[in-house]
Amino acid sequence: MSKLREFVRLDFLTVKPYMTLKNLIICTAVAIFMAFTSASPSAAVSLLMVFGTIYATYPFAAGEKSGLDALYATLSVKRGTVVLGRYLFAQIFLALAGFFALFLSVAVLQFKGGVYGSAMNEAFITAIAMFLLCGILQAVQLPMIFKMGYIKSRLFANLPLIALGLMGMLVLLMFNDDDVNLSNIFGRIEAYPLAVVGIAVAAWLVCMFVSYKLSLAFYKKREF
Amino acid sequence: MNNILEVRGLCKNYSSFALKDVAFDVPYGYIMGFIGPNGAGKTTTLKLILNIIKPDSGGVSVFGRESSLAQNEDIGVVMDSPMYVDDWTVADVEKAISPFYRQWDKSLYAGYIKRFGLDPKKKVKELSRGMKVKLQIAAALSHNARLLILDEPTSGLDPVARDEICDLLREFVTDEDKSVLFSTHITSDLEKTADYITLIMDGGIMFTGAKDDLLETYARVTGGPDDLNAEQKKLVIGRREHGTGFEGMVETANINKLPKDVLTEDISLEEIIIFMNKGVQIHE
Repeated sequence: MSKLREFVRLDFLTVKPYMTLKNLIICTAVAIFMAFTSASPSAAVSLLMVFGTIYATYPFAAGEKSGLDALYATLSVKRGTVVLGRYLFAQIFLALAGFFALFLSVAVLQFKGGVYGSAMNEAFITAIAMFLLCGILQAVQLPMIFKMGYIKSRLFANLPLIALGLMGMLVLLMFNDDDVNLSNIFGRIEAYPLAVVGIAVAAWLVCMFVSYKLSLAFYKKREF
Repeated sequence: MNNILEVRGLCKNYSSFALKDVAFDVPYGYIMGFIGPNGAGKTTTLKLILNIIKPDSGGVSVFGRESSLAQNEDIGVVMDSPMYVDDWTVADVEKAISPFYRQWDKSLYAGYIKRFGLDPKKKVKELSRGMKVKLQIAAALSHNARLLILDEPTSGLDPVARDEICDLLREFVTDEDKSVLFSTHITSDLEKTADYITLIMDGGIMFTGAKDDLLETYARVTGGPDDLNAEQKKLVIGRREHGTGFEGMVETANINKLPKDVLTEDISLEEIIIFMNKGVQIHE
């Protein structure tokens, strides 16, 4: 257990050099711009969590560049711990991105004034939905990266992310009339909250479990 | 039990290279030089010992027990290039790896960093090759390792830096419970430091034993163009002929089978590798 904890900590140290103030300012500025130009903070929350999903794969990139997979073995870290640790890191990182996005939403809403309660509700539901959705995206991405390595899998592994972006645009286009808008969807979700959350969490868990098993099988066969 | 490391019949097949039945022992309290030309299988063997890769067959025993990942905690590792994130600072390296070692000694690491003149705030990518090796050595010596495994640590270093590293290794084995397995193709370093030598060539072990035994097993031989008959030519390993005669290596046991006119003399480790490698190529 302590090795797992230390491994997750090591992943945070691995991405630390990339978590520069410049990158944080750019991400925050884009998110604030989106929050101001759109009617709700949901767009900003979604954007920041997509950034979080991208950053969560950075330990693979840094690891491949510096031969960290061999380092893990010299540190007596088993391959199963590496895979589980990487999944934990990705989820913790995504959750932190979500918290930051919510914090930013509160700040923007304070600045804008207006319907604080319902907008915050929407941002909160968006953060949870994005956490589950990005988690499922990672569940698709991670086995590919564990099998082929970061560089070789980059094209395939980013396809789900591109698909998510296209899906988002499609949804906005489809519901771009007054009768059916995003607020209505959130309304429906709020009407059956338990069922929706139950289905989403179950789907997330199944995806994560299958993905973890695949990644473990692939990573055990890798040679460094 | 006199061996800190026992390697038994290691085999590993790749599409373009195979490690064939590699076997050798490293005794307690000594430095074993692991030599061979580039691509001979040195790094693959070290990776197998460290459980970084799995063998197709054969096994490794470390500290008297079958090798496992857990035993790496007692092994200090120095690779050709450091397995650290380029943007980590010298201080970050300690933060990253120390939690994985129960016997990590913070003051020892600080001492080595100071002794080697490493700036804790400097990034790994900003260090020279020699400094990178020293950083790895500092880490390898700061967790009370009993076995040091080094993969080409001195290649690309100037003679002063190489000598400094050789001194460190000699200092390490003053404790007779500790040993060093030192892979290199710079044989002059081993002539100064190694007690034992394992010579690997084309994935197979050609010799393993005391360094002096290896140097006494072979001799350098030179002579005129017509000094050797066909049978005698077969005794000369890696024979190279030129306008004024030939040169090569011969087993000392075969010296009396050569004519008295040829000149035999002591041979260096480097010459053994060169002639042996040439012999392997001719054989192929």
